[in-house]
Amino acid sequence: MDIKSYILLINREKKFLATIRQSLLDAGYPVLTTTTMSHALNLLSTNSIRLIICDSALEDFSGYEFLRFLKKNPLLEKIPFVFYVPVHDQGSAGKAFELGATDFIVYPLDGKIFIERIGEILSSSGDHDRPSPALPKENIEEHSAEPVSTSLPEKKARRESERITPKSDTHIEISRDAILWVPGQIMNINMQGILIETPLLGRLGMLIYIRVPLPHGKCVIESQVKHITISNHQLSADIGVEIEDSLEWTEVYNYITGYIKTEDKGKDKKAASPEKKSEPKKVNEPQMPINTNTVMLMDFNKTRFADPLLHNFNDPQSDKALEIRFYQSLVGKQLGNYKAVSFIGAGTMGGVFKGWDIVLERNVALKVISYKLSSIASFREMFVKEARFISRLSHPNIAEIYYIDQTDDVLYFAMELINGNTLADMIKESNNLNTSKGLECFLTTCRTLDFVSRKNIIHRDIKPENIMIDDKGILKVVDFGVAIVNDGKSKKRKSEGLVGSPLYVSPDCIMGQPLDSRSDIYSLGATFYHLFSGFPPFEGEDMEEVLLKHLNEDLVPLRKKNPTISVNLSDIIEKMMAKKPENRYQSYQAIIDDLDYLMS
Amino acid sequence: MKKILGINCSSKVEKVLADLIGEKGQMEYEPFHDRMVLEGYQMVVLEMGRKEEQTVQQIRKLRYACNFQNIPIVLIHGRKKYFSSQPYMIAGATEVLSIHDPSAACRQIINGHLIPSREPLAEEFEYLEPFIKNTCHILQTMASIDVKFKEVYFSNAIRIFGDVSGIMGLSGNADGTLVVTFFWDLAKMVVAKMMGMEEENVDAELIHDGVSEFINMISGSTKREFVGKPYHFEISLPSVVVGPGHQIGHLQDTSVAVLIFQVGVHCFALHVCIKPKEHRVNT
Repeated sequence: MDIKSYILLINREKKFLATIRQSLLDAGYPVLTTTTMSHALNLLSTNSIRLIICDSALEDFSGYEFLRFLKKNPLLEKIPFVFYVPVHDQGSAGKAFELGATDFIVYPLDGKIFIERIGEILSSSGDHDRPSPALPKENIEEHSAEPVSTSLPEKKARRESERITPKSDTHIEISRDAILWVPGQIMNINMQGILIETPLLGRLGMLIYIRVPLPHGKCVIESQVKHITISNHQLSADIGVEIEDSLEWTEVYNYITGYIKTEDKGKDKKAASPEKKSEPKKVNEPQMPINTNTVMLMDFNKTRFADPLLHNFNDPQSDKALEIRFYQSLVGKQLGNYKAVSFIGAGTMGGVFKGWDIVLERNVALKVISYKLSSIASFREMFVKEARFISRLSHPNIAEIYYIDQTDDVLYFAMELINGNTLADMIKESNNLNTSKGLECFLTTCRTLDFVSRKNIIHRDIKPENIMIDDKGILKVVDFGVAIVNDGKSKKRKSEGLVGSPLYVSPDCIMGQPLDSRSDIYSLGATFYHLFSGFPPFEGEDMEEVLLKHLNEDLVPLRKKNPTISVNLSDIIEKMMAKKPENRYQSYQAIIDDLDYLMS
Repeated sequence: MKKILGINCSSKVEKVLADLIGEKGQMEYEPFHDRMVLEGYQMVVLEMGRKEEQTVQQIRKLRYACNFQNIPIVLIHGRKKYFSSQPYMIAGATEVLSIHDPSAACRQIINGHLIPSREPLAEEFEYLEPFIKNTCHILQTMASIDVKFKEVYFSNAIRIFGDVSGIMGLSGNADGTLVVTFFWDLAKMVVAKMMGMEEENVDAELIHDGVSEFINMISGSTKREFVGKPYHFEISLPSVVVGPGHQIGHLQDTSVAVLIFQVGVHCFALHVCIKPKEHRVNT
């Protein structure tokens, strides 16, 4: 929503309207004009009006009737109303003030004096600012008889040195309690405070917290509401807040004003050389807090690598968005005997929901195949195959599968719901895990994958996100969405393209070679490298760079990144991550033996 | 058979819809008018007009006509150039689909929205009932307004489409958000009755006070009933927001129960999103 504050000028004489409008424009005020009360009401409902200047007689009603009508409307009654009437009407001033007019000006009047008077009215009505040099709404033609674009005269430019007006969106968040944050857009800023467009409706004097994204993190400052404008309940409100002088505020002020200037500069540059490539976004660059698509934008790492799995890594993001929208459409619905309670996230082959089994009355995880895959028979088969794989893997460290079904073309299976954290959460929360606890996890995962490999199954997507520790402390390997059986037919997988997560994928998988459990061993090594060091083994600006490093770059020994790690453990992981499969451990049992030795 | 209302649909879009919906739904078509009745429809499909503002207004009117019922409004268009769907989503559209989107995706998304809503779980009733009881009781005692609880559905919607909403952030043993949302007319009526005033004298500040007091009372009185239970929460300061389509930062992996209450011909909604503190679950 783009709210600008206009002066609404109403007079039945079109020539007169044009003259006055021009004087106001020259003084830097955005103006809307009309000749009738009915149209004026339309303009009031679709625009933010800061002042009404009206003649005593309009084309349809009198100005007094218009004022009387406005004073009965709680949303419009506070807009200052000025009569600007011909000299023969000056006798009606008493009536005008009785009805609540702010001022009564008689013409002919010197243009300069008129403009000064308007300025005084605006400042005395609490609207201290010169109008923001706002352009009318893009589609203003639909609402206004005479759209006006304000050219910026010298005088206005002078005012701009005191008050900085963002020319593009500057998003902040505001809150009453610092818990619930709603979006806001800075309309104006000076050292005393900010004018914010926001849906948060406040009261005068109310304490409001403002959260601003700064390069080093978000900064919260306190402010007090000094001014509220709500001209139409279907639009956001404008809230003017006063902010006390403090170091934080100075920093925020400098940042915002610098940000706005930089942004403008950037725009100019862009306009001058449209072919010039924009700078890559840095990781610590402030992210705009208002996201329309929360699932996709929440995790920066996820967006860098469009999908955790690389089946479709050239897909446009819109496909992923459609998938998420499909999952979202299922929240609150019932699939067979299972209620989809809440959406947990999008996995490899589909979306995962927290579900409820209405027959057995227990919590389940519902996994729904993605729309894209469900329309391809081979993927539907793969989904069913995953269910079969997991059902074959009866092991305390692998999530159990309960049921598979299809409802209204939605293919899903229900499996054990694991309450707990993934290794990825642990990496995020504590950077790296205590070594002995980490070793325990490592050993359990090896034993679990040893069991999996003995069933001739290759997981193909071992990564921190797919290893969970439930609330009873039991480790679970999850997501067998792209698992395959190593039955000697795996050569044909070359046509599938790359499968795996870029940070942990094995060189043999990247090169499309036939896979065996040694590929999972590499990914497991990379996973625990990340866990013990707090950093993935290879990082890069984009996916290609990471993949190339997996293929060509020597691994920095784990001990160099975390000196508290023993040489033996560092060596084990290094051996697991050897570039060539034949140089890695050839079985999980060999790793288990080394780990057992290390722990003893 | 699910009834679907197509509005302002060209023959091209009708054809696309016939293909997408097949025999799962029964399509009825109508041009848009100001008095649309949406009772009995499971979905509304509106073809996007050329003028953004006009379409936005139509969606708003359709959202009003839904009267807080869970009727998905799907906006369909044939544009090839990128445009922002934000104004339409803010106005109340549930989905914006292009006839050029992959039909498999459109079919599944439409399917998803047509699957019937689930009933609340027993454990959900445990925390919803006190909210229902207290909301009715507060309006009856504070404003002498008879309120009837109409229905509940579960949504993941982060947007709410009332004109004015009171929001309470919940913390303590349980996290969450509580949002009461009204259309303007009912908000004015309720606030006027709560404050013993004429409706015409209710201005924006009074609406703010009334709505924030109302959500404060609902959360305060319900909080007391949860003492000693996993749902026991602490309340903070209520916030009031205006304008349709404002986004609420509900908890991410928790369902939002939308309780619909009826006051005469008007309805209002109470969004309850509450979750006892626990660990995450598997993805």
